[in-house]
Amino acid sequence: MIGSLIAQEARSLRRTLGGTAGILVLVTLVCLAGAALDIPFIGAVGLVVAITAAVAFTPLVLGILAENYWRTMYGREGYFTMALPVAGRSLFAAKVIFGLITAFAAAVASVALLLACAAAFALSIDQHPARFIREGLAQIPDGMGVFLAIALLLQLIYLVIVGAALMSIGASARFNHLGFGAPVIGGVLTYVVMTAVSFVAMLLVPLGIAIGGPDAGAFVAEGMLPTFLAQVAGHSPDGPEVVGVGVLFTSVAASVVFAVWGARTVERSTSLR
Amino acid sequence: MQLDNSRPIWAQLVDEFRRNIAAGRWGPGQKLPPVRELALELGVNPNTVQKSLSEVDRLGLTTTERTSGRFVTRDEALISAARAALATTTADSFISAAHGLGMSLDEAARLVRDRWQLGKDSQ
Amino acid sequence: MTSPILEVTHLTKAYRGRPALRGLSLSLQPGQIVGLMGDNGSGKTTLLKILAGVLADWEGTVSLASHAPGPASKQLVSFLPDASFLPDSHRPADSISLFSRFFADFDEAKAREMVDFFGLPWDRSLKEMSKGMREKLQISLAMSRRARIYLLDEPISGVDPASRDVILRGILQNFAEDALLVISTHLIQDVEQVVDSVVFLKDGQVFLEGAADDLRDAHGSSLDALFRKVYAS
Repeated sequence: MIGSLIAQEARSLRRTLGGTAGILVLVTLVCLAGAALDIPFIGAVGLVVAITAAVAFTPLVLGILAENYWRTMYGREGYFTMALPVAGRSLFAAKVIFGLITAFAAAVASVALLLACAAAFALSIDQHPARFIREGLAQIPDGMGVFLAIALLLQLIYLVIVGAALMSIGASARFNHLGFGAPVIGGVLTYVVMTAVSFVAMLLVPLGIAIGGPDAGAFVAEGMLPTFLAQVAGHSPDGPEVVGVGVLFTSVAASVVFAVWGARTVERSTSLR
Repeated sequence: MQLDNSRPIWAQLVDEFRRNIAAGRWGPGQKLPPVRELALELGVNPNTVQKSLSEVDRLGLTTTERTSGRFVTRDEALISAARAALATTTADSFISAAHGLGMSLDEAARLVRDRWQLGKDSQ
Repeated sequence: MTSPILEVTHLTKAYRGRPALRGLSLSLQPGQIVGLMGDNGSGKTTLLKILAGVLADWEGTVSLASHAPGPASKQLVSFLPDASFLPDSHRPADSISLFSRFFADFDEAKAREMVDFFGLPWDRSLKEMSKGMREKLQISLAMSRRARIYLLDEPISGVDPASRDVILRGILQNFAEDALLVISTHLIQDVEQVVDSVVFLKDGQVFLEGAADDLRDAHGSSLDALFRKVYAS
């Protein structure tokens, strides 16, 4: 049944997602053509527009997914969705899985478009695109690059799961009198709490990446607390400067917690208005 | 058929079915339309039709054969009796209405003869 | 007497302190059409939503063909809500495909027949249809499921009188004899001749119930007149 549900999601969002992707890719490529050909002024503007489009693509797709989730689960179309002979947690799972796949595809597209921007820029300053990009990436220390990539991926997963869960929790009997305001308020609260928790994790979880010094880019078994305290006091820390990676663990933990909470809410507290 | 919602519908249907048989619209030995069809035609619930037909069965005007369906009786005497009974009810209604208007038997008989002739002429 | 297919005991539901159902108990046999009647605030829609499994947080027991509201009961229950629940972009064929895909008991041929019976245009999307047409499409879908229980929430409200007749005909025509069909409506006159029995709800409880003809006999009036009398007080 989950398979059919996912297929149905794809079917109903095909046009909207396809259309949005098509427009953004077209805009980006046109702008990049302008940039690569080094047309004065328009080229620069085009590059900025292209970069914006590339970066905005993923959040835009997330927005489309969120609107679809809210409308089909708790809007008037919810009466069809909730009448289906499937368990609430299966509905939640299907929507989240489809969301994750789509969000990941959007992120890949964003990265691809950004690389295209870099290539266009390279061409406009008469540099070889591949070499330009390779040299640019080499600037980032190894460990840092890996950390960033994993962090962004986990953040994407977290956003999809938490977004869906917050909407479902906000739509439950206790809160649904607030309408869409409930998940918004929930979102703000979650953001505040997660920021605080992530910060604490960064400081205290004993895993980090050394920046600067001989071991730069390597993983070290200490958190960011010493570095942080030293910086606050205004001098260098005793050991290496470290960026804590505890945030990765909090992302995963939070995703799991919200996934369970969201699934349970759909299963037990669905209350259509 | 005009139904009066303030009286049990099934009873009104029984009278309607008796009239069908008495007037020969459902001839002797003829097979009745299925319950569902009658229900749709009359715009009423099939269960109500079912109940009425059971009563008509009980009056002996129809018989139900389990496999073949429901048939009007071939008993001409029974059909005539039903016709007479229904006609009597109608006549009694007319008579009490005529009394209420203060008509005499002669006046009433003349009225019936005239109206009957009129009805025949316009056909 | 067969056993009841729908049993509700002491059902209580409140919306943030405001009670909608107060210990409602009801028992319905299959093979009949039941009129669920009540004014606004009587709890009609709340009851149907709970039976359909789209409203949670209630107390009491609810049993639909021996299942509590959930995926198992939804398999056997065809629910027609008051509002439009299909995507605006759908044409009749799209909605039929959708139902076919997700409901094992859906009869596609019957659905197509009903769309033709109602004279609906196959090439128009829901966005371009009138309210009456949308209602007719939704009824076609709901009645084309071979369900054991049909719950229709106000299927003829907000629809012109001519369409009401056609819709009731469509319902009668496609009613499976051993199923239970519950129609909630405040247009009593229109359903007078179609219902086997009625349940009057008032203030979240069953106020009066019984076979339609028995009630007519006992009160010497139509159900419509009885309804007005009951709710005038």
